[in-house]
Amino acid sequence: MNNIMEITDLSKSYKDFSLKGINITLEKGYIMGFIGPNGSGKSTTIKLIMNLIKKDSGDIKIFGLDNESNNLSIKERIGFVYDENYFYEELTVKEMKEMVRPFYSRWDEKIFKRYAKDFELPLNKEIKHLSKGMKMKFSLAIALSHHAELLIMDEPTSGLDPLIRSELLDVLQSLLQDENKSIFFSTHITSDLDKIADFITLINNGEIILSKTKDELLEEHCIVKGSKKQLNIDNPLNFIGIKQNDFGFEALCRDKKAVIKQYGDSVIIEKPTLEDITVFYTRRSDHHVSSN
Amino acid sequence: MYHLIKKDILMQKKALKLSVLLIIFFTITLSNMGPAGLTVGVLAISYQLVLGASALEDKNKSDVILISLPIKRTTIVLSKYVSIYIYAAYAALGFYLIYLITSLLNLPLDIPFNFSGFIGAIIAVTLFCSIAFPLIFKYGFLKAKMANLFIFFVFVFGGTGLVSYLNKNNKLLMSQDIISFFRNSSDIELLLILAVPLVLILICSYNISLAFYKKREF
Repeated sequence: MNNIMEITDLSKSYKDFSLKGINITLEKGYIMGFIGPNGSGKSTTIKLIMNLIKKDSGDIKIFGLDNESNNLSIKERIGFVYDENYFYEELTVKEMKEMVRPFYSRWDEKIFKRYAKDFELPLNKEIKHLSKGMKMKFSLAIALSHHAELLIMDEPTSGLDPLIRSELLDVLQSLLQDENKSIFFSTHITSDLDKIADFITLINNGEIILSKTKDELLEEHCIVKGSKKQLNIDNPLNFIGIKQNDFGFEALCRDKKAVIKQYGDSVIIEKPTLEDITVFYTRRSDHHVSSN
Repeated sequence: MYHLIKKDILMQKKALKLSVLLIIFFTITLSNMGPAGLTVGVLAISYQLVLGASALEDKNKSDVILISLPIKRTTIVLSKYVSIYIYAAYAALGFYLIYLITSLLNLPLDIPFNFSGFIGAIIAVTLFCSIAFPLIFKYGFLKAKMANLFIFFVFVFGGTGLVSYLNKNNKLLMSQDIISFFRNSSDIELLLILAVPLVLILICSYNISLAFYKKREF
């Protein structure tokens, strides 16, 4: 069983939003970045994975097991970090850890102590007096102290300063040296993923727009920059999205060869960032085209 | 379950300190009510602590953490029900200690501490929480707050009002009746008559709470 997580045709409807039969597969030993704008369905998907909300239809298999009927045994093997603090603010770091610890049969106090030391966690301080970064580090220390095989992270970097973000990413990267661990990392700060992600899944408006390896994604897309005149050619390329201003246009395209064939040297072709890809795929534009 | 209850107590350190003052306050103010004073006192302290824990839970949105941890929803719900009796026992112990102190020091306070008051407290706390918990597990503390406050006052004023009405009208001296009833009944009879309906109510309430909690989304 190489797939650590398999989501099939997962749907969930609310009054004003719905997740429309999404499919995601995460292999063992990889980090998947789950990106998309605010309100695109990232948190809903994670809540469904964690059984915080009930699905309307579809399947979620984690470690090859159905996530509802094997809820407890799956959660024993999952570590989670959320976008905000849900810990009891009135408890101290140590009291909170003591509360969580007995529920994990594979809790490893040595690992916790090591992270507590590395992160300089103030064990006797009440959680409400911790900074946002410290709360996230505490959350991460809890998530990493019971030999979790899958880390689920819902926007863990939102609202954190660049230093703590980069510290977090370093920890995640070093974790992945253990090939049995996988990470599912949702964020709208795509630069977090430039460094660490193996796979990228882009969600928008409750639909998966694309899901592939980061390298493949960056390789097969390109940013084209040129003058406005060049856009008026009769047979415009199949741009994924176009931004225009007084000076010219900028577009994301999937077929680099076709761009070169059509425009030759008259346009600038650049490698896109994940942010470019997210923005061009998800901005509300008539030029939007799905890749699937 | 032990760890969940311990967590409820630990996060209410301030409320526990406050409850000591409340126990002293109630001892003085409710001393003229007889055994019903103890009942109201224990109910009030338990109310403060049971709902206090739920309020903090709600404020921290900590159900998200509890559900994300490998904890059964049955354990989460059950621990809340068990905690009722820990708070009630704590309150009763508080009243008892003050009762002991005042009798040892011969203070001029008529502290009502007796068995019927204590049984009354257990009944009141059980009934109150049996109604309050399903609402909390369905809607969360904040949304259920007004309803629970209303139920609490119905219990306190309704209960004490009923007792004083019955006393005044001399139709039925309830407290006297209870005492004589206790004296005349065997332990097993008492246990059955009081415990069976209470346990049934508790079981029903627990199952309703659990059904609500299982369906609740966070």
